[in-house]
Amino acid sequence: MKDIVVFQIILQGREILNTRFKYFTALCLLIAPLRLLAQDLLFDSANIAMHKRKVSSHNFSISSPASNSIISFDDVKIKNPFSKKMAIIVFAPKDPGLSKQIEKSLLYSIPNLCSESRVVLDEVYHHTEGSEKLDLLIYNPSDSAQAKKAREMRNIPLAPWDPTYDPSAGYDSVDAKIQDLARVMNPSCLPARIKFIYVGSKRYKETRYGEKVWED
Amino acid sequence: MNVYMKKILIMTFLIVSFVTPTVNADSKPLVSVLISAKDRSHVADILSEVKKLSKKVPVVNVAIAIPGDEILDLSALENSKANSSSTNNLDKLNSIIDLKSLDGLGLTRTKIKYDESLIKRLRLSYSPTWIVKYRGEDYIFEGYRSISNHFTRTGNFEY
Repeated sequence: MKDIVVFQIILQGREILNTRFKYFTALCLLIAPLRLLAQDLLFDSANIAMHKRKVSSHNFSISSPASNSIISFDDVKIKNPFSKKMAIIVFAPKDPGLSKQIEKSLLYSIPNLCSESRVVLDEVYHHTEGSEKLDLLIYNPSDSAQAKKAREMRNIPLAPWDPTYDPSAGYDSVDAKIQDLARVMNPSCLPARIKFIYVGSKRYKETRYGEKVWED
Repeated sequence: MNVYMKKILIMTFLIVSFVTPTVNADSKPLVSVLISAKDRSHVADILSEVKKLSKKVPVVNVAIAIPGDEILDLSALENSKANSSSTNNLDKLNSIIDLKSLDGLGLTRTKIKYDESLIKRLRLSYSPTWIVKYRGEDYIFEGYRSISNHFTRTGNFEY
């Protein structure tokens, strides 16, 4: 019965669409998927807007290399592939779609393309030796326009944001250190360029976004 | 029902379907919490906070971090039926987490991950860590026993 009613509604709807409201309905049909796409993109972005830390007596103990993750053969030490890592047991709603979305949101993804050019100054209350030399350009290498301009920048360390970078894999390579530094800087969008500057006696972390990145 | 009424109803249906904005899941805050399982009383304490908070705002993910060298044959647990109480391993898990306390939240055990990447990626040291997803961004509160003061009675997030 319900199917018949739905079928009748569809038939009636088609009749109306074919007559007076076809332009209006066509416009609605055009707009609807665009809006859905925008929402999907929004949900995929997982920028860390704030990270407040408070010392607690309870901590997450990461398995230390000294315990069971290193096997020693006289002078040779190798990583034990059978060592147990931390287990994380996840309890989530029964709806698998929602769980998947939330899990995705917990991981860093590539920051969005900057929609505007701006300079953000965050006051820093201490001086870190050597940081005045830092001038880091973080960009999205999969965006050809950004990648091309970045390659043209001379004498500036480049940090092409790698969304597949896994900090748990190790910090030994130069690339890993750059990826790590880019994440520490936590840009809200790309491209971004980070420097530490003095304005008078005050010290700031200067973050340029968008087209401001390419300016000297 | 005359023809005009039917047409009006159909047009209303079409307009509501296409013009009314769809509910954006991101406009409401969603909370996840990661708890270290080293201390059972700590887990119980935070789960009671989760229960209180869930009256204001949906807590959609509770993750319990267990040092791998401390427990059980997790693979056997993984193969067991979620929330069943038959296996020995589940008894061990129950000694760490009061599984019944999660029942009231409508959460079920979904998976076991054997890695620390989440903790390392977010550079987490202190338990519990709450992650509030709000308007496409994550707000992380690490080491805070409770974050209920960041939510109004109606569940609006104030950071």
